[in-house]
Amino acid sequence: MKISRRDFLRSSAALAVGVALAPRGLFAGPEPVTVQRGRTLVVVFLRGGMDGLNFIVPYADPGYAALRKNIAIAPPGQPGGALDLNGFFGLHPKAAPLLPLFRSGDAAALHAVGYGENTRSHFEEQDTWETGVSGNALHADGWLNRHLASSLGHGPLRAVAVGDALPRILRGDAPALALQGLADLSTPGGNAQARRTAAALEYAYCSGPRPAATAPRGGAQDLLAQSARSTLDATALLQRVTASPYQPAAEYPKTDFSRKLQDAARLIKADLGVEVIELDLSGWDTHQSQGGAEGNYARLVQTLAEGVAAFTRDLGDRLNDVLVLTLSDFGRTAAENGTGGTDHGWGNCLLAVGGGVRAAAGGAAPGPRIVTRWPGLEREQLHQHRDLQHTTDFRDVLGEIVSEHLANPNLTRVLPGHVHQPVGLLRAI
Amino acid sequence: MPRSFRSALCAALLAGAVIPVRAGEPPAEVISFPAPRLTLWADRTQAVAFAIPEAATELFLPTADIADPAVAEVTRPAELLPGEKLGFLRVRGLHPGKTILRVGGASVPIEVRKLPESARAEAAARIPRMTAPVNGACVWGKFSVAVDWLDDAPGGTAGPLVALRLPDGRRLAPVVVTPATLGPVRHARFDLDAAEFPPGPIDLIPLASAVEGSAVRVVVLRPAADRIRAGECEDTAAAARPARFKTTKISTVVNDADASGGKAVACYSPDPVWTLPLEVAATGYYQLALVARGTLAGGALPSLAVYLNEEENPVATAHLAGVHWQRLIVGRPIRLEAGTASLSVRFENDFFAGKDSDRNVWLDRYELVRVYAGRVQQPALTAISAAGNGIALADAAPATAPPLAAMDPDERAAGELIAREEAALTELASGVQAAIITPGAGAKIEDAGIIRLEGWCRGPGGKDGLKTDLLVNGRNAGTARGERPVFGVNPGVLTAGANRLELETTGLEGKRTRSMPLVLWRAEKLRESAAAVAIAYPAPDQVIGVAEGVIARVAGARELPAWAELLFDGEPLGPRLVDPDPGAPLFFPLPLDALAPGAHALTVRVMPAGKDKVALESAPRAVVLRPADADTPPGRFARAIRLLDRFGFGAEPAEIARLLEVGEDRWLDERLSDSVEPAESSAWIAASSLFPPMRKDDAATIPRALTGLLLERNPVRLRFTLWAENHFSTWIQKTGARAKWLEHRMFSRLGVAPFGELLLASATSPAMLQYLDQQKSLAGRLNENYARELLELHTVGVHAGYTQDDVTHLASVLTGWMTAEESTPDPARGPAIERGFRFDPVLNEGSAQRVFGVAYRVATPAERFDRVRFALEVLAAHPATARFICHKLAAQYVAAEPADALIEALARVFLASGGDLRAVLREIPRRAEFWQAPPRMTTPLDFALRLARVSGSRQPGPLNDFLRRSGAGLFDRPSPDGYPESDAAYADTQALTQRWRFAQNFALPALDRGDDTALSPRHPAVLRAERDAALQLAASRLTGRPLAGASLTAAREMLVLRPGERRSEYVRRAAQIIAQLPEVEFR
Repeated sequence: MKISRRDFLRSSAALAVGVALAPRGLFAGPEPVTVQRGRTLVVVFLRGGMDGLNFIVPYADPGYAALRKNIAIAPPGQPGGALDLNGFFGLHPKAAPLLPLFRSGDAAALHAVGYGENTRSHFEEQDTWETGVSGNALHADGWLNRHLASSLGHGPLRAVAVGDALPRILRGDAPALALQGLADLSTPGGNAQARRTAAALEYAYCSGPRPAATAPRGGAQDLLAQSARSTLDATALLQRVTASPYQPAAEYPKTDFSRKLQDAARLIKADLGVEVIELDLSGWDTHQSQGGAEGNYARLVQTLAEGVAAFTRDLGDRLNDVLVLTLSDFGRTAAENGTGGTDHGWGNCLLAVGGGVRAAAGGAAPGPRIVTRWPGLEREQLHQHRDLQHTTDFRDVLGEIVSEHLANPNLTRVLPGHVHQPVGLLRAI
Repeated sequence: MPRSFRSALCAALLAGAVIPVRAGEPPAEVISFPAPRLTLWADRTQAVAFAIPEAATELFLPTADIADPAVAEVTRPAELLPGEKLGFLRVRGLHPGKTILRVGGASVPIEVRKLPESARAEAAARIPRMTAPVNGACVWGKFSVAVDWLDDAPGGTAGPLVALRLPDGRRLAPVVVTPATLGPVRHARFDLDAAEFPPGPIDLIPLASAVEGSAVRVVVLRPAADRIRAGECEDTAAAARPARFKTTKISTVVNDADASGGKAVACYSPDPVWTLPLEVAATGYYQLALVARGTLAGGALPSLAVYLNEEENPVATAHLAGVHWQRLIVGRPIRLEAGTASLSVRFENDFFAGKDSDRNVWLDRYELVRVYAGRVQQPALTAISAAGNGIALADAAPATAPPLAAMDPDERAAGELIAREEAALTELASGVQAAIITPGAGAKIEDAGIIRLEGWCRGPGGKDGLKTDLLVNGRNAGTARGERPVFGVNPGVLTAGANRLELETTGLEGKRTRSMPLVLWRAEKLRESAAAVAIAYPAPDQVIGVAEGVIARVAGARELPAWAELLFDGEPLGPRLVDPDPGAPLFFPLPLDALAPGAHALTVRVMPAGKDKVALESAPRAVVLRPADADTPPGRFARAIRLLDRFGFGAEPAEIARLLEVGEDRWLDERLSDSVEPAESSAWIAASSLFPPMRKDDAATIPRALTGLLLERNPVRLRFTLWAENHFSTWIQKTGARAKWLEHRMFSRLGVAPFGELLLASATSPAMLQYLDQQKSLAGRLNENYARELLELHTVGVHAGYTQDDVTHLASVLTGWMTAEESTPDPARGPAIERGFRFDPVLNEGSAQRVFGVAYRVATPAERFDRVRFALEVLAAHPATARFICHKLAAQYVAAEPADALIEALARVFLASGGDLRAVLREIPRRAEFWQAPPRMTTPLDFALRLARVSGSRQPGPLNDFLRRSGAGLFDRPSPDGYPESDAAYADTQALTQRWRFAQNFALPALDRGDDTALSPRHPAVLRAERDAALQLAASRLTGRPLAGASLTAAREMLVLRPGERRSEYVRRAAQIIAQLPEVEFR
């Protein structure tokens, strides 16, 4: 018997979603729509619980400085002070590279975002933000994966996580690729032996006997078959991209985070139909020695801001089709704790850059925009007298992005069990 | 989860009839217990849960007692709070036995069992340690001895609790011991006068709470006045500091009426160091002593380290014996070269948590005595061991040293100890490492058959430059070259009783080392048996099915075998096993699909390596092959593979053999207990010899740990240990390598211990307390991180129904539960400062708290440690914990999403057995779900360990690279939930890409040792048969089953045999192909 991968490639590439996955009941619900070609959402997950109050700083809130004696960011104009955005909020001084993006209207921040059942547990809350399902998220797949599964894209490589493993947000029925970097896919492939190996592997993984009657659908064997197919397809596709060297249009800082962003930009510019990219920036669990304008937290802010700024410069005009969104586990306590840090809290801020943020604001240079109904930091205004309240549900933000930026109207499928309210980030209210 | 549902769930777990509640105080008969019988552990306190059907409307305090007070006692009354359905009492197991526990008239049988010492969480901490003086120190005059140990008796042990055993057998009582109100780690100070002992070495042994610590050997000196230099510390307060300390400050001098000269140097922080400038008249070894005092805070006394000149690493360390002025012998003798030098003393463990909790140290006087003039030259290593204690220094003494005869006797004794220490350090620094891999520790030799001894060497000189001698009781018994030396040991050369076997490996430039000795026990009389090989499985006339194997044992062989092969109806079947171990079972896969069903004969043939080339051949074994497509339930062999897949790391031949030999139940009992190897197993000794600890930032930790995982003989214990460590996950990048290593060792030593012991071990692990910031959570300065994960991840689980208040209140109960840094006795071999568990009652809030339905009343300082222990006991005994832990165990051992019925069944065993996880694991294969469960995806660690262990691979490097690239590095999970238990987490593209890469570079050492039979151009049908045989052999070795279906088709496509290729080469390529197929991804 002669096995040729070509047959598999043809069937899987053209019908990757339809053939491979349709039998598993993916299209229950509304008809899938074909997403707009060329749009990309880049989700940056800030793992550990990012302290939003020191990122988009409510310096004019009378409660702010009093709650954070050692770690507060000073008001604008003072040494190490915040960079003023709108007279009430300011940027952390190490986020300076983002200031031009705020001024041009390309960047906006959402503040006091959260939801009502926060458990303040990293794992529960990362799961909640990644699955878009509150309460028992144990068996839910990622909301980005449900977006993929409820829409039709433009090629086999719709979703990529640049990192060690596939994050929850991309796990589910639809294929998604995790890679540490574009240089990471050198095998198998290249010569005739490698092609022969690839074909044989696909045969072994994808046409083996289905699991015995005892194995439930979606069990380990099905997962592996799906993963093998994506791996082989993506390898073939990405090897074409990496065949020529990349010349970024901007200089990136020498950080691991920026290297991931540069790979993301390269993927976007290669026009493969990649519409969802996820990458992580970890280390935000600042229980102690958080610092203020300088220190541990400030270094993270700098890594984030410099990376995102370089990414936007590299993308140039394409930024209008690319939206960068930061998510995190939860906000942190409004007051600092006994060890110069902050503990797990409640409402938080999100950063959104590019992708129609400016257009939604209306006008050429609308100026810095903070989308929020500010709850205040006085003791009585705090959730359980300790945390920033949430006044915007995070699923409303995600919903607006899925329907406006990714142009997928199937919100009942992507973010089930939620009644969506307009937020005003990408669509004027 | 709503609280009412949680309570209902707990109630469902509690056995006993539910009787409707009448109004008022709940009647006694409605009380139920978590299980129809309960287990307690002797010499342990535990919480016992009881429940009532409806939430109590008021405080409910049923009477509680135990029928036989000799077996157990109630140490805290039963109590159930308003609004709760679950209450707790506290019981202490006294003696193994059975009795009845009565609570409010309801009763439950209880059994008290003995906890193996190896499974006790704090066994190591209870052993008293003498921290000053250290081994090898030289003493003169009056000096203080420091001993500390964990006293975990509630409220502290009363009466005489600590002593020092002197060389004449006398027991010396301490001058002072810190009270339990200052923490459970007690510090004792003894004062000795060296003048009372004869010059030369003496041994001092600490004893505490009936536990004996290690002896410390010090040398008693009688120095003449001209050998001593002494002075006041304050006199050099302004001396120039070595540049490496980057300080501009000078030492603070304070008035102190009790100090000599009325003044002392105060050290309030590590900076500045106190420096003693020296003009050394003669090169030699000098012992430092300091008169010092300090304060106790954060549960620890001050530690000092001594730095020579500009050196980065300290040359000596010391740990104060108490808070009052004392004369402290600091570390071992220090080598000083003639000329200008300086010694700088740094206060290493500064701590400040308020005015009353401030650790500082004051230095009054110093003394420096010359203990040996000149330089001790390295005597040859063999000379040291051959001469034993009476080492002949005269032969090696350099010209610069005075003749030995002219030395004082004490100086000579000191020189001997110094010489031994220097020789050991030179060996350590040579970079050559050697270890004995097989046989394992504790092996008993009973018959006259040859023993295959295999070593592992590393070091300069590489593969070819290393030469290794085997020493049996000090005598040379053979020489081998290379990194994997193999020796045949004839039991006739061993003496009856204990035998000491060592490897001595020499690398380039004569650098050499000696392995840790292996002690082999030889029976008084050896069984003389004729050399023979016998088939152990299958049994005569057994009907065997698809995918089985043949197991044979060799006995009485006089020479090591060169190879072994299986004959099928007289014809060789499959490639040979090359260089097999005659002490281990021989495993031949028997892929059936090409063989005709019906009656056949199996024979095993073993060819000796020596001149006497007469093959041993087994008697033919008649078997009946079942047709390949016969539809039959899994037989013994298939069941063995499933057990090994789930409880161990796949089809390891020795495990298959043992399992088939003794049966499933006994095999699992053996593996769950410590009977396979002592807890301090040869795997750990070998791993630590090959990758010795480094002084700073121990970069060898991961390769050392991986080597231990490869060499550990008991796969069941290993899988469980890795599970437990992942359950109580900590991250090496936050804990530091040293603390993580110690934690890893601790879990390995505990093995399959009761859950309460694992919880206590984790809760007192410095790595965990550092990782989750608990050590920073002090009275008035709460940090909730550890308290939250303790509930959410370690015990009751996130859906148990606790609230934010419960987390905050538990954090309050836990305040002061922390770590402290203290000096180690041996800074030349490892870090000078190390973290240990401490509890400081002063930094504990001690206020009344209610945590998850249990009241914690205001506690006095002496009660606070025990109050934390009780909180941990309640969590360990909580029905929600039983369910949460059993869910995770069922996921690990059975199915990623286990059925509720299975979880409930395991939880019942957990609750009835006092959290005995051996009992829970034993229950698993008794359940039908275990045998019916669909395949589970391997984690990257599973995947790599299975391939490496079944094939005898021992290189940690490729494993480490693979794990890191797969995002699953050993000890490298940043978040405290540990690596996930789901299949999906390991099936992504990234994981698969890395698996394929690893497989493509994978070697199969056990099959790859030079079966030189070359493939001659032959008929295509013969080549196809040869190819299939190679594939099936590799598949059976790697997975325990032959290939079938699409994987077989794909593997045939991938393996192309090249004429002229040696058999070992294409079998290796076949293995690399198999290692890329889906079959190896599952377990």
